[in-house]
Amino acid sequence: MNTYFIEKKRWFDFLEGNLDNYSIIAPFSYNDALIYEPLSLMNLDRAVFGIVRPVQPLKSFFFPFKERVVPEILEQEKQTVIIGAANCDLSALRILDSVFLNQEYKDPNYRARRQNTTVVSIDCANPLSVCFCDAVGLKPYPDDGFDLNLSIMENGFFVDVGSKKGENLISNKDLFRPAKDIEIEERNKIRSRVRSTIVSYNESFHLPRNISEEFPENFASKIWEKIWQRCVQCGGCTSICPSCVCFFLEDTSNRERFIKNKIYDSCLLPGYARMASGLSPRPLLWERYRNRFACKYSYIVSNYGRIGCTGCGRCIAGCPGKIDKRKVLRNIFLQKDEDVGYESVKYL
Amino acid sequence: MNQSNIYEPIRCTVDGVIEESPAIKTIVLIPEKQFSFEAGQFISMTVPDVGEAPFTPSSSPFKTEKIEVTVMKTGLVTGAIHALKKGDVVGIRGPYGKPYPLENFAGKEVLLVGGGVGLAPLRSLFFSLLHTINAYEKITFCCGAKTPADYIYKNQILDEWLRYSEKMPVSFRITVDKKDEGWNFMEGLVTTTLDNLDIKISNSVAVVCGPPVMMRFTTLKLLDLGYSDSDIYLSMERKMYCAVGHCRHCLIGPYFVCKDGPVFTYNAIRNEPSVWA
Repeated sequence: MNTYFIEKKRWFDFLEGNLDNYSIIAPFSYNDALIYEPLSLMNLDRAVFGIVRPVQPLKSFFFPFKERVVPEILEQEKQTVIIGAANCDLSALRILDSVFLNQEYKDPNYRARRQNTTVVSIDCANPLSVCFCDAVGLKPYPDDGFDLNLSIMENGFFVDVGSKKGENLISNKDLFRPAKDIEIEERNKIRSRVRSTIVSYNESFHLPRNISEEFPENFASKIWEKIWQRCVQCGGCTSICPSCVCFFLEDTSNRERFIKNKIYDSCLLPGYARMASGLSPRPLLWERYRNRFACKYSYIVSNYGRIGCTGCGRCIAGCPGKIDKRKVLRNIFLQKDEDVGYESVKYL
Repeated sequence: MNQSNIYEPIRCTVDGVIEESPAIKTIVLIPEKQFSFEAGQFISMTVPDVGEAPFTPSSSPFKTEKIEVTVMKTGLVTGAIHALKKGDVVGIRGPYGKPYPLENFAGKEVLLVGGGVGLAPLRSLFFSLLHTINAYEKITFCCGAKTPADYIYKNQILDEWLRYSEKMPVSFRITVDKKDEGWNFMEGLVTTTLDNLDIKISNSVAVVCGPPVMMRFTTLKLLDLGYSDSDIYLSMERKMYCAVGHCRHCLIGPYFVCKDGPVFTYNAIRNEPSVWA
């Protein structure tokens, strides 16, 4: 893999130079949280690179909350560049690719958007207390799965090239120079420091080294019947989860043509699996709550060969019931029914 | 599947509506494009502006110009299907799922057990089995319904199929939960048709389709009779939207009813939660 260095000032020049050719999405800081916004000459200098993952999951650009799928959206949008996803969201994108792309049946809109988008990830530099990527076997920086990846250094950025699309984006090399080995060593030190921080945030949860391997054995546990009480079945965690893919189809066809919309659904909602007869395989909330965990740590693994949770912590930070998922997992693995709530977390 | 958009249905014209029972109708569809399926596969049927739901065709897979779908009125989409008239337009996509594994039935005594509207996919399977009847040792078809008035395909079964046993290794056991005057067949739940079966169980497979409670008790009875978990084939039903393994509504444990099913052996799913929902 080729790694380049670009000075901070030149990085902004580089972005400015590409505004005509690409729709660029970048993170901006609002109330200490990072939010993706379209980049323009007006806001270019306020874009923030390299703190932590943005609040929105990367999936929202490829699999939006609601979209028309019949007829599929054919308009060729301008090529898009999305900057700011961390490795947790890149990992989630692989699950989405497995579901919507690497199958016999390919989702038409998703395929078009993936082809049309260049993903520029960033090393996580300042993980949140809710982050637990290490516990699901991920690192706070990516080895692959990106088109370009940025590592933020004091004077500028390292740029790893991960694909042809990434190579094309920085084809004009005037602004970049090859990175030196000694600089890369410095980056590696920062990377392992960030990783240690995440490990230290999660030591108290005593999670097994391989959650998905241990998980099925605990699936039938009676503990599930006791630890769901904080869940208010709002479906918020599934919406902000970067790897949740469930949706339903809404039909608004008329006599002339078929029209179908694809809209997020949540397995925590009582109507999710309820059939016309009124029967549901999971009529009770604790069954649906267990299903969400089983899906993440077992079913997705069986279906696509990778764990369905990326440890991004959004479901913890966004939970109105203040459920810390890591405490739920701890209870499952240690067969306890202790409170799974938290007092407060740093949101970001 | 050569369509580029997996969600785009094929337009179909309703050619006729057959009233099977007070709650069940068979809709005859003429697809605008060539459409074929194998027994056990299902289609997703769109009623414009109402919604879409999965159904297994009940007609012969060898008749492709017209497709029949037998539907019980239970909810929104099935209610709208019951209101269809000749000339109306609907959409279908598919076929989806795995067909009945006829190759696993070869040389075996095949037992079909259907209850109520569950006879629909079994009718399609029965036509397929008849097509290659010499491949099977024999076929025993156990049919059940609540009352004689609830029997679907009644005339076809009583007037045509019963006569097949004169020239083919095919036999029927026909029951209703509660009989009325003029009913000359058995009375009792469909599980009672499994008493005193003239079948060599060790060389038999059982195919079951019906409401969840019927499937559950039929499976338990078949196990009692000595059927092995992997010789009991169940048609599973779940809430479904995409039908192509994306939306995850139909999962039984890690298995997609739409993609890995809809027919599963009991062995494949017996340890998953809420199998009999």
